[in-house]
Amino acid sequence: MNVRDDLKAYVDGELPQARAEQVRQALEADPDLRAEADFYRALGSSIRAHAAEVQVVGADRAMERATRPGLLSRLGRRGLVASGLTAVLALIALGVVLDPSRSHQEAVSMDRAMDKEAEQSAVASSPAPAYSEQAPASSERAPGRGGAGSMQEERFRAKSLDAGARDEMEPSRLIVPDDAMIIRTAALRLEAPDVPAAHRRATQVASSVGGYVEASQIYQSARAESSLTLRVPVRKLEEALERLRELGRVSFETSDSEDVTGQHADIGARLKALRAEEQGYVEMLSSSRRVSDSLEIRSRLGNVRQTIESLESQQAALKDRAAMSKIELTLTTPPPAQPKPVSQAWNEEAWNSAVAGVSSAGRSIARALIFVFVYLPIWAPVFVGFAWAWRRWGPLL
Amino acid sequence: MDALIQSAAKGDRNAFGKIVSEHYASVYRFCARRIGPELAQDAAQETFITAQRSLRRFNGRSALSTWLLGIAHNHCRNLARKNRMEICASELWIEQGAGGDETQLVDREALRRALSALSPEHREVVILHEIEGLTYDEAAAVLGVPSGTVKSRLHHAFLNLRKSLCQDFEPKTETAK
Repeated sequence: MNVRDDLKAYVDGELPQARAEQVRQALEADPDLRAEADFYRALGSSIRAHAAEVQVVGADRAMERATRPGLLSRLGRRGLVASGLTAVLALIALGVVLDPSRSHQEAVSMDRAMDKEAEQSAVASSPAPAYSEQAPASSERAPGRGGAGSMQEERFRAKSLDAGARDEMEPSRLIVPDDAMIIRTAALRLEAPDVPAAHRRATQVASSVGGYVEASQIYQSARAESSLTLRVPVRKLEEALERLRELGRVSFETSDSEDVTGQHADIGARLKALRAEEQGYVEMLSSSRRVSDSLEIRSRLGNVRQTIESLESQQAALKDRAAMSKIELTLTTPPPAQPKPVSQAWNEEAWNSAVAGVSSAGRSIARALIFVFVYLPIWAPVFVGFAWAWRRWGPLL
Repeated sequence: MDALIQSAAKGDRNAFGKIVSEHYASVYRFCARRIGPELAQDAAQETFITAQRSLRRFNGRSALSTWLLGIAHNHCRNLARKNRMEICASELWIEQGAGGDETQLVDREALRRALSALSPEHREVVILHEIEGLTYDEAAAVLGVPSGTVKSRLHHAFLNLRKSLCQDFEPKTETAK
């Protein structure tokens, strides 16, 4: 190796002893090399001599920063617990604010309040409100139906029910003021062993409560099926339903009611106004002296009377619908009894159970992963922030 | 490892305070020679904050001062890049103005010009070895390069300085002889 390459290291005393000895011998033999080494020494000395003096500042600030107690020390144990509790409460509050089900509940409770208000206003309009029936506490609005006067409750049964269990599925009774005009309808599906006999008895039930059969159909095939549309007085609806339920096993039942009090009152008010208008035209006609005036007044009078007749027929139809409730009754024969499944071998059962378990676990994991993925925009920044904060300030805490 | 360092690594703030008081001046000077006194204070502060955070990872293979200068070196480089300034510019660490001590080999202004002609890497090793007084191994630890690289850079830096100062060198060496 070239001695010149190691000359600076030799001058600085950074060479291994053996190599330093070689360089020393080379220096003794070569005056140019010696002069170069002297130059390096002198140059190093000059650099050090010309180096600017640096006035040290900021030591106090660095000292204060280094010895300042950490956040945990400043908070203390109580402060830490309080901070943790505050954070938890804040998270809970945030969760409540962001809870998507809350807005739905608020909407439902608002709807209920509106219903209650409407009921109260209906009661207030009646001088002596008398409730025809009691409302059980389980009464609920069916979702998706708007309007204060529209109320419905449905209950479905996939299987036939015992007569003893019927009370449980009886449609909730509605609070109806006596002067309110409510159109009530019900639908009932029954499984009866003898459909034609049940069909005849249903007709008898309708007649016995003062109603009638509006329409009826009966099919005779492998499984007999019959459908009837019954009209019964509104006051006898519950009694009729009770007696119809005895004809077989109830597989489906629903009841609906529509408050048309406002609609009826509206028609009444329009009729009153139109009659006053009619009276006015009649007086004008009697005092009219010109033929053209008389013709014009007669034409208008005819229009008004036509409208009055139309509204009167609507009012009568509403009264009829409110007076006579409609029951849609369907009668079917019970389905043939299903043969009992043959019991599986123990190993087959174990296999099926294991496969079902694995499938269920897989679905659960997939569901959890979907949640993790969907909530990624929320938790990922928080996680990254915490990780960054811990990396940056963790040891200082 | 030093008991003081171990205590500071465990979170003893008084122990770390002693480390700061012991090494602040050298770290600050190191930073000031690289990026100037205005930014040196921030760089020194950041150096000790980083050190406090990372002291648990300090394994004692090098001296604490070398380790601190290594951190300071990184902060200075980042600050220089951020402020678009040249690191180790000669005007930051060589006295300004001409003249100076007549006993010295070269004139101050000539030296400043010669140093300015060096690359930042070469100026860096010159500062570390000649001004800070670090050995080759220590300078290598600060810069994060092998010791041989420091030796090579220093050799080439002095060769370049010699070339630059050749005009001044010849008469004065003759006089010295």
